[in-house]
Amino acid sequence: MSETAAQTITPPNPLAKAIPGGGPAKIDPNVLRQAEQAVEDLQGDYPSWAQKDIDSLRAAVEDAQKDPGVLPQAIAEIYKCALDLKGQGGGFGYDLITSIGDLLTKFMEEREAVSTRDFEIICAHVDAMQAVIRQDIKGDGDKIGNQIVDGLSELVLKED
Amino acid sequence: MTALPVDFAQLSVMVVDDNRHMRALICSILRALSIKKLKEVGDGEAALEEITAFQPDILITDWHMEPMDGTTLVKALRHSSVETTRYMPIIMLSGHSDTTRVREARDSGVNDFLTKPVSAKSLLARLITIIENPRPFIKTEHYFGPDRRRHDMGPPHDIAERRSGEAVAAEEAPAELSPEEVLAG
Repeated sequence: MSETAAQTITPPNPLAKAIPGGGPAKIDPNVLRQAEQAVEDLQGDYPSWAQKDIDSLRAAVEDAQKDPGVLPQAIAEIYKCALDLKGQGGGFGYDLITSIGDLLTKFMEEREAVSTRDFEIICAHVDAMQAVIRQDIKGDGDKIGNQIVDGLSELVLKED
Repeated sequence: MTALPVDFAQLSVMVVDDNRHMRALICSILRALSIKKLKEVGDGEAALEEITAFQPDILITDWHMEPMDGTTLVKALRHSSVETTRYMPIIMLSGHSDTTRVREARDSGVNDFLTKPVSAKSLLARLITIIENPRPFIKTEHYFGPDRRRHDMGPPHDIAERRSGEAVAAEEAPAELSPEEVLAG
């Protein structure tokens, strides 16, 4: 196809059947309430789910420390676990887990080597997430949450 | 004409995520919306294996998965020989929120992008957007997927070829957007 031949296509719309009569649609306010309730109903399960992810994260860190041969896979696993924790925490009402996960994913982004100091920083993030779950700190953690995030950010800044 | 409530019960959805807790969250929200026809799979390969038999109306996929990630899955679907699969509305969920990644997802052919963590409100908003505003598809030498200009998400990588196309001569998004602007949709 030549550069001048951009083509616009109107595809079939499989979602039209969700709009009764094909006219303007509105959202039943009960629908959002029901969906939010469904999320709330899962919040009690989250700490045990997060604990498994934290355990996996800690295991990946220990693997990386013990065996330099598995470092690339371990770094990928640390990043993946941190990304999962970041992506889930806030969804279940544990926003501080998302904030710490965000800091850790940024720290691990495109990292190929991990120094002893880097391991200390990674472990500090893991310990912080463990503390949030153990103490069941929901939301952003208020003052304690700010102190944790500021402290971890400072650690990373010192590293840079 | 009187507006009637969106009837989510009519829709089928496939959820692709390698984390079962995330799948549980998404599927709980979808069930609460009355979507009963749901299929969960753990990565892109499993989605490709199941998609022809299940034929979802909407696909919701994570990005970071092994062995096949979300953008690879989206590109495969956009190249499908099955019309309903090729044009399937796709929402990508990801913990990535930087502009570069969002643009990469968009350029793979997703209809919409939602940054994790996901709330019931944010997922509902994305579903409503794709239900109420079906987007035309654009076919160029290097891209096949929903019209990327509709969400004002910045210039696509092949904007040069599209600039000269008759159907895409109009607007052009700013060169740089913050992640919030990119995601604002």
